[in-house]
Amino acid sequence: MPGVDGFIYPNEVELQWSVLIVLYPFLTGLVAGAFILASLERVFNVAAVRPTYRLALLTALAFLLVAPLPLQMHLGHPERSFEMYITPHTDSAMAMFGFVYLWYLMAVLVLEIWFDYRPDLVRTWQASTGLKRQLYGVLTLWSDDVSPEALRLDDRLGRIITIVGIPSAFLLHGYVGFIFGSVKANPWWSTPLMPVVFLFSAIVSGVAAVMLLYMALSRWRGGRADMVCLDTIARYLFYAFVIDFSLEMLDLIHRIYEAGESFGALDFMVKTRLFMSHIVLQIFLGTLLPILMLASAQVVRYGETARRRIYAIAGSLTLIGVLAMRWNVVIGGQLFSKSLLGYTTYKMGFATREGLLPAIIIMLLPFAILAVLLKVFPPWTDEKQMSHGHA
Amino acid sequence: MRGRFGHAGHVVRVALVFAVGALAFLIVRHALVPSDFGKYGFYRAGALDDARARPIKYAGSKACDECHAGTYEPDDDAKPAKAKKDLDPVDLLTDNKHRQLRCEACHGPLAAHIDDLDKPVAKVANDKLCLGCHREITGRPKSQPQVVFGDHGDKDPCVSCHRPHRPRTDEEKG
Amino acid sequence: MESDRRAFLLQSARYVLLTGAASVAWEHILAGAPQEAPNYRTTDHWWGMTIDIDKCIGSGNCVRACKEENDVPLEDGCFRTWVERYRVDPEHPEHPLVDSPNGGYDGFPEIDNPGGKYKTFFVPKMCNHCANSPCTQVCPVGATFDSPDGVVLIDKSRCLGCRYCVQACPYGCRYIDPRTHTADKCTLCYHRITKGLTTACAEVCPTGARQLVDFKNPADPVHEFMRTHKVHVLKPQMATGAKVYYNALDGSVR
Repeated sequence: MPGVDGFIYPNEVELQWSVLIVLYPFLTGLVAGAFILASLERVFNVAAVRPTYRLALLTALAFLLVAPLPLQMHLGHPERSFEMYITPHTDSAMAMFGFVYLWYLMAVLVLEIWFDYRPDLVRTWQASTGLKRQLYGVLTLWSDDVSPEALRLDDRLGRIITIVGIPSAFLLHGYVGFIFGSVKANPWWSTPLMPVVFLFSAIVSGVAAVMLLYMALSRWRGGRADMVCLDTIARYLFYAFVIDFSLEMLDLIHRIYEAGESFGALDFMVKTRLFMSHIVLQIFLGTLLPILMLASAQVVRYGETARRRIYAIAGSLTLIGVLAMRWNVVIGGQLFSKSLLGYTTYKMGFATREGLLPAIIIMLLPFAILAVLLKVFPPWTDEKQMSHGHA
Repeated sequence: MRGRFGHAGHVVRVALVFAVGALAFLIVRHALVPSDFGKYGFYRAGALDDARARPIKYAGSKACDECHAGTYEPDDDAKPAKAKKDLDPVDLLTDNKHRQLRCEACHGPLAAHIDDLDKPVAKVANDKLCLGCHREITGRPKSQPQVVFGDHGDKDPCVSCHRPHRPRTDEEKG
Repeated sequence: MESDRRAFLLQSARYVLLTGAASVAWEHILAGAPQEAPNYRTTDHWWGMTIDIDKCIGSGNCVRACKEENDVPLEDGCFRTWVERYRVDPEHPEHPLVDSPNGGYDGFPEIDNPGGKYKTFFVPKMCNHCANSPCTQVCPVGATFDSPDGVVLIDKSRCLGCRYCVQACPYGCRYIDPRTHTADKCTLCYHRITKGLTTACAEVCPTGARQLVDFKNPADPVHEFMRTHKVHVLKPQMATGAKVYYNALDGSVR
């Protein structure tokens, strides 16, 4: 059989979960990571990252809105997906997704954005006419109370929501790791470390994404991103990366050391079929190189231009590395047979329902949504929040 | 609203939006969950009936035995003479090596024949069928009689020497 | 004419008798159908299967009959049951050579066994109708479930086609039906066993290697079988509660 080496069970010839299922954890990971960055300022009072606070929330929202799309396009019957809400099987991690997602979207993200933006929304409502006025009327729920008491209440509620939001963000992406990690039938997936590894790589990707967006948007607006902010983000990115890398190495070393039943088959797979995506893209280019770059920025006193370049390159490599990691988990976990005696290949279509073209579109869509969100909820109306070219 | 709730009016509004949403969800849910869901477990009970309602294609050899089995007196009204005449006049149930083979293993699905007895049952005495079980291939236990076609009886059809319904016993082979 | 009337009467008598015999035969088939025999109670049964490796000759009858009886697509990758052939080098039992051409649907071709050094045998595989089935555990909407009589079934009208169950099955017995885009697998011929028939695969097995068993039936031969044979389930370390018991299953079988 073409593409098959060794023996696979007859039903394993085609992969079950496609590139769209690779995208889904990547997108929700960005959401979780962006939110953690936002909470750095809101809950842990790291004032330096304030310029990215609103941007981080909007980024999280944009990616969260797109996240169900790859799932819908993958389902055999997307029109039945509501069943997960009306008859959720509580034994199934996947069933709980619907509620975790809904909770995080509505009770955390939307509410937090609303409470933070309310004064701006009210101001825009009162200053607009026609359709724009209607829109902002709805967005403010026709309440124009921006008195100090109301704003104090908003601030307190926003803080509570963020505090609740941190474990919620952990849950949102941690459960994705659990969906894979709890499948005892698949030795590549089955490990208790999976939710934790997913979560920390999510934090790393989300923080890097917001950092890059902040740098790009600042440039686009004719200024430059605040250097103190960037330095702080890069530092936290480095910390998160160290934890993430340690966890991934722990999993790897543990597997090699124990050399259990599946080790031979998996080792062979990583060294052949997954060599480019795992060893080269994920480990070297996507983890080791950015860690070294960020580490060097902590010890060596680079000039500002050099630091901006390092952060941009390291951030981009990080995103590539985390995407590669999702690929290696999802696709890698299906390339070998459960008989541990053979391998199959992933045939990705292009303009098919689960092919490369929809995958690219789904990856671009959040940026389009973010562009709209930036218009409706401008993050930088306050001049203090943006620095123009000097630290 | 400012009077009633002080400066928390906007919070009340948003809480109301959530409450209405939750209520709408509960109403829709009630309408959409199948009424027999959860009766025997976490599934729609009607699925058991769905699983049972499939058409049957293999009748099972008990159905064949009704007309074809045993030696019976031709004047026994319950067993039609035609069935006896159609079958090779030997008894499938006597002590022979094909005894555990049920009819449909060779003759294919016969529920259509049971449903409408005029539907003929195809004769299946072809070499491909016999060799399907008796060709020598790696993997078959030695207890299974196996031949290499061509080495055994030249290329004559299997039935020129063998009776499928009652292969010769060891005594008959001598 | 006299002979014509006689012929007609004889012909009619034959039809009446044939119909009578057919209806008696058909009763065997219909016995146990929900509407005809309300005495099928799911709680009276606990279904499983036994498969005797020493008897399997790799005829492929079971694979063909299953596809016919259950209207399974003939395409690649859609097997409710299949047969694997093992060649085990006694010096390297942990690296068996396994083949399953089209699941065994067309039987097996001859294959190398140089000097007869390999230990060779056939292993029929199917859904194990696990008592603690991981596929039922992960289904998000209760579309796959365990019937009260021990059969794992799929509700095709509710399945989303998310494929989580296919991932969760350690035995690779599930697939997605390309026509309905829902999960599919062996149903233990539920439509047959609830009517007193055996499964299609057991019906056509030429050597009786495959046998349907009912653990709640005190007269079922399975009780004696389990007592007198060295039985195994596939992947016991997964603790799935598999109910397909193999006799003479070699340790090299995956």
